[in-house]
Amino acid sequence: MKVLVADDSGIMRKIIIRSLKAVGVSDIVEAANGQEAIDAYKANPVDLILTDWNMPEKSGLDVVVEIRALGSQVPIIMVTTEAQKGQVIAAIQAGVNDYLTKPFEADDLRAKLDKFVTV
Amino acid sequence: MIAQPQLSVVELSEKRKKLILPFVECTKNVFSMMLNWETELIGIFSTEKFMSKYDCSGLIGVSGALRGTIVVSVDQDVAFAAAEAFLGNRPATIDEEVVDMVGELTNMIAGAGKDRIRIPGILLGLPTVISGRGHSVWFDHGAHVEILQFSSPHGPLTVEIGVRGL
Repeated sequence: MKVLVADDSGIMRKIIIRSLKAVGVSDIVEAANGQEAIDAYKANPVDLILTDWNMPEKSGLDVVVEIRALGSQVPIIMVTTEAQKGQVIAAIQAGVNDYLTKPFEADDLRAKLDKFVTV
Repeated sequence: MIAQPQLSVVELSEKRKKLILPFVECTKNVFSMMLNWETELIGIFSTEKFMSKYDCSGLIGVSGALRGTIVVSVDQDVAFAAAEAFLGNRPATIDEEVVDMVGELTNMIAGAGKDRIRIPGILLGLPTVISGRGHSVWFDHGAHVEILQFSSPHGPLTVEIGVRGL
């Protein structure tokens, strides 16, 4: 299984990757902004995407919109500080499959991954 | 004269509570959930009475319904211990990874605090981090400023909110 992790924080990418490895995922692509994420997906179609919302270049919402516009149904989990109802609704309407609010405990992330990771 | 901190949130005006209480709660949550650290509010100050002088500060601009800056300032030992918790290795200096970590903590505290304030139309920028022993952050002279001082298992930190429009 191949997973794309998009977040402008290297620390946050490390935290997410640590959890991915704990559930058996080792094939991981990283992106530090929304444009990198879109370019990475086009070059390497993956089986799951975890993306932040507020990133330079393009936002996580832009990432979701553009990937869905390609006709892709790849599962996307938004991992973000944006927690207001309107934001969550916008993300779901754009096509995210699940939503995790920062801060989160390791078990919360693990529970989300268990829904989508098949190794 | 040594400034005496105001400790009791009960005595605060409703306007100050509206700003302070959400950030107290979310600061505790961020450190508890991400680092498993207990933090404790030990003082509430305004800039006239207290100015934090720590080693590394994350700053996020606030715009829209409120305008100003949110700052999370940490002592070097706090920064190193947090980075060690995230990365597994304790840094020797405030390096790129430590700066990233302070920025992300600031991002989470500001984001969660913004949501808890429940004022629609607040926008946050991306975090900027500055480092330098004993630096201070000065807010816009006309801003409403609250400085929340916390203790943690590894040293002190402050969450500073300076905004107009409250």
